[in-house]
Amino acid sequence: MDIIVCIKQAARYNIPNAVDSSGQLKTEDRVLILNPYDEIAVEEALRIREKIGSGSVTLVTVGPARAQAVLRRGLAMGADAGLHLLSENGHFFDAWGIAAILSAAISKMPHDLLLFGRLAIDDMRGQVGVFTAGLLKLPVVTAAARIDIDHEKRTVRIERSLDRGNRELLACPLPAAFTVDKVANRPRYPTWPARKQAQTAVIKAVSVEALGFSGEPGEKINKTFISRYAPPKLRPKKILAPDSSMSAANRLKFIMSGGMAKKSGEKLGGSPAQLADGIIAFLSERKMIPPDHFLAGRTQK
Amino acid sequence: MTDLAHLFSPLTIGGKTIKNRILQSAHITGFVENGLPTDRHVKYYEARARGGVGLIVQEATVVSPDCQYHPEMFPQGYRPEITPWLRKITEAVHRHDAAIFLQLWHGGHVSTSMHTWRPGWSSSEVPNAAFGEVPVEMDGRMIRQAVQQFADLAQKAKEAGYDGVELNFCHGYLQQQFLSPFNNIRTDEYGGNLENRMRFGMEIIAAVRQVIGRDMVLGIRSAADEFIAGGFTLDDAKEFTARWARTGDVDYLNLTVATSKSGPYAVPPMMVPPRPFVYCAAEIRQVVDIPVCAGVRINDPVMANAIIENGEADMVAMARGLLCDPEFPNKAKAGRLDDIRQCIACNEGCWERFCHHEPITCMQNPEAGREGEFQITPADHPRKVMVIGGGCAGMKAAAVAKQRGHQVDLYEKSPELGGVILIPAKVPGRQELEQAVRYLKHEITSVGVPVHLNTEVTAEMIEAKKPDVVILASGGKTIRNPGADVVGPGQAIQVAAGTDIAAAEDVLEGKAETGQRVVIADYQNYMKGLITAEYLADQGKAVTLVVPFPIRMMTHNSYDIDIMTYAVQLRNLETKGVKRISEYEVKRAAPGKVWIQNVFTEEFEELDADTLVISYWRKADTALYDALKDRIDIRRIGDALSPRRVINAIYEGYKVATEI
Repeated sequence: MDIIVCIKQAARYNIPNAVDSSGQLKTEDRVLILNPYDEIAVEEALRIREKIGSGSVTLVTVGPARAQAVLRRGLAMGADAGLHLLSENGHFFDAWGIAAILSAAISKMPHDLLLFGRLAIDDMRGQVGVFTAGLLKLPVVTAAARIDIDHEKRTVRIERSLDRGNRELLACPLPAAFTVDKVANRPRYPTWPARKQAQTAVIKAVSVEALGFSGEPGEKINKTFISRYAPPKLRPKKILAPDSSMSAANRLKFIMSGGMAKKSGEKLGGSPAQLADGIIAFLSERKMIPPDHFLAGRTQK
Repeated sequence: MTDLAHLFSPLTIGGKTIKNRILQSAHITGFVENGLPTDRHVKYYEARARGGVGLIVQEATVVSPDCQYHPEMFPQGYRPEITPWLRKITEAVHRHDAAIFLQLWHGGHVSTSMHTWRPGWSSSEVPNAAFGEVPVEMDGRMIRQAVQQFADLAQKAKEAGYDGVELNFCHGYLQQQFLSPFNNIRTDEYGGNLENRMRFGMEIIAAVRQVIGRDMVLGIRSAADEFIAGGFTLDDAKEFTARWARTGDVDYLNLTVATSKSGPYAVPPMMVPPRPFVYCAAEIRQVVDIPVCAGVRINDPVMANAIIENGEADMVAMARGLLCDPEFPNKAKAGRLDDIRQCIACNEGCWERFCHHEPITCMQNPEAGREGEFQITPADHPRKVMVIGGGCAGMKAAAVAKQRGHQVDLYEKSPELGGVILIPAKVPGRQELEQAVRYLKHEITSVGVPVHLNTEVTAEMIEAKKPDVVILASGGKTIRNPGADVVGPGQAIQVAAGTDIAAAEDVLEGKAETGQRVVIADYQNYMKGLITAEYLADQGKAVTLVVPFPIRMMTHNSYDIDIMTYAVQLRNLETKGVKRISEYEVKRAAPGKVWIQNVFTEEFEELDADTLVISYWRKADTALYDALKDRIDIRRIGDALSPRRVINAIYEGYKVATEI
């Protein structure tokens, strides 16, 4: 069973994106990590290999030199080999471009199963896996939560994540491609010796130019381009303030409690007529009965 | 690194550029002598200008002899002799690149004939909630006279070189007595609808603007919510401030809250959360297009910066914050936030002293109000000093002595510094007392005083070390036995065997548990009893607080709780269901019962109680002093001398260190 997992570097989630005055993303402060969904895909591949008892797990990434870090991470987890499709820093490929590069490389490699992360946590596209499968003419199931492979029959049973924990059940033959959802597994943490060894592993590198792509402006394989980034509009801050319709004592109570209101209220008692009067007085005080309403000012007395 | 760029960006008000967003709001100082400002004023304001504040609004200066609540406390702006003094103050402030406005004040019926021998004036014959005297209802002639008096003082301000004037339209004073439906029940053109009630204020604005022209700034300090039933609310304030702004004569608004009846919220004590009324400024800022200043209980530069950054206000006003640390702006700008001594709103040194007709100072800063007189100067001869006791008195003495060049060591028998003030600091609402400790600890660390914790100093240790001076700041002791031999016969309690009895200090420290029904015998008649009551009520106990008098017989100069703190604390006790019994003294206790005696009739009443909590004063610990006083230069300060208050402890620590 030859499993290929396509992985990438993504910008870590808790560092806000900075945008410069011309709408370009400022990349200096970004911290790049192995995209967490891709890490889950690697783990899934390793588990499938372990369950079957044989096979290979090859990791492929498209990116500049720094991207080799994610390959080494995956190798430390237990993958067998890595392939670095080397692009230049600053070159732009959209999902079509990446998919074209991947399929160009993968089509020349033995593959029974292609795994991708469901989406990347920085660009949130979720397109590359589907486009690559399409170019390679493989069946694709997205958001795979559980993958059960019948090695002999070469079929796969897939549970797919829907909303609120619901699952959809699908089946397809191998070879196939899946994008893996985060509920599928919990990735193993590579051991220190494994990470050390991965640091010096030999990784095959092929430039995207060698595959026929350039990434320069005007690169024909892209169908989209990013015109600009804009930071989120500031949401107006809410300030806790007591409402002027509250009594003076209650306004002060609100402030003294730091804005926390203990639920308390007036308790009305008495006959239905008294209760009705009390309710009308309560609503009138809060200006909830307009002056021309038939209840305004009406009392039983 | 915190960046306070918003707080330190300049602002233009009425054509004048102010260098930062910090405004020192007007407050009475009590430094006046014979009704006129003094050199004390000049030094006080100069110290704050030197400290980096952008704009100072000088204390409320009286426009009319018909209204003052104490002639000796307020600068009498209606006297021609005041102008040269005003000029001295503006010159001193301008030397440090700060702007200064004069606040013009007419108190109306916030006045008492006890001091002035004249009645107060007001919109209607409705007595003032605080002073209780019936005022004269102002007729047209008196109204014109008052308006003219504002203009006259504005003229003096112009001659004295002020950059602007601020109209005191707040805190229940005369203009607010016309504006508020609570006070104003007139039926002529100065009463009734909002336009009429605003008329008096509008006339003042026009008259003052006429006098100062366009070269000076005209601002208004107003309440945004009176917080009383029948008074005006923030919704009303949004309307009248908008009308003021639309006149084109008002250059900025400085917002506060409250009126006489809700006075405690104007100078809110510690248990009121910080920045409680900034929301008023934020809402009003949306309906006017002139700069709006938010104030009241703001003591932190990061908080102040956030207010500007969030657009809640254009400026931040502080009075107590700068009284406590005049260098607050410089330190904040330099990023030395830990060096800032933060106001904790105890009111002990400022508002409380003002209420007793004393000049203001600060509990944490003995130099406040004594600028020039209290200074840390190098000692003639460096001496070897042992400071015993790491409470507020000891820490202050150690820090000042070290700064003067003495060789100082500080000894504390417990594992932590802070002393007795750490006990009330445990109670929610009083935890800011720990700020005072934090600053003192920071001060001794910055100047490099060696601290020896867990070290109980004995007479032998002192004799072995041979110091030149011993400063004894070892504090006082909790009274746990209310016997006549300890507390005197008049305040003793006969406690039968088996009674569950605990001292308030032990309850607050968690060393003593109480039963469900608690009676607190508050013989100290001070905050300790009140906060213990609240502390226990928060735990769900049924608490009865027994005090001999709700206020002291001789209220002038008495050892009393700051009235703001007292009023808010009472409010807390009321809302938490604490029963207060006054004019009674606890005389006897037995298991399950406490007997209290009426102070006047001497009749007894019986209360059910599972626990009696006693709150007395504290006793000085004189053991070391008695052992060494004849053999060595040993000086007692703070509670070790006589258990009083933190303000005395810090004052004495400072003073003794300047004397050695």
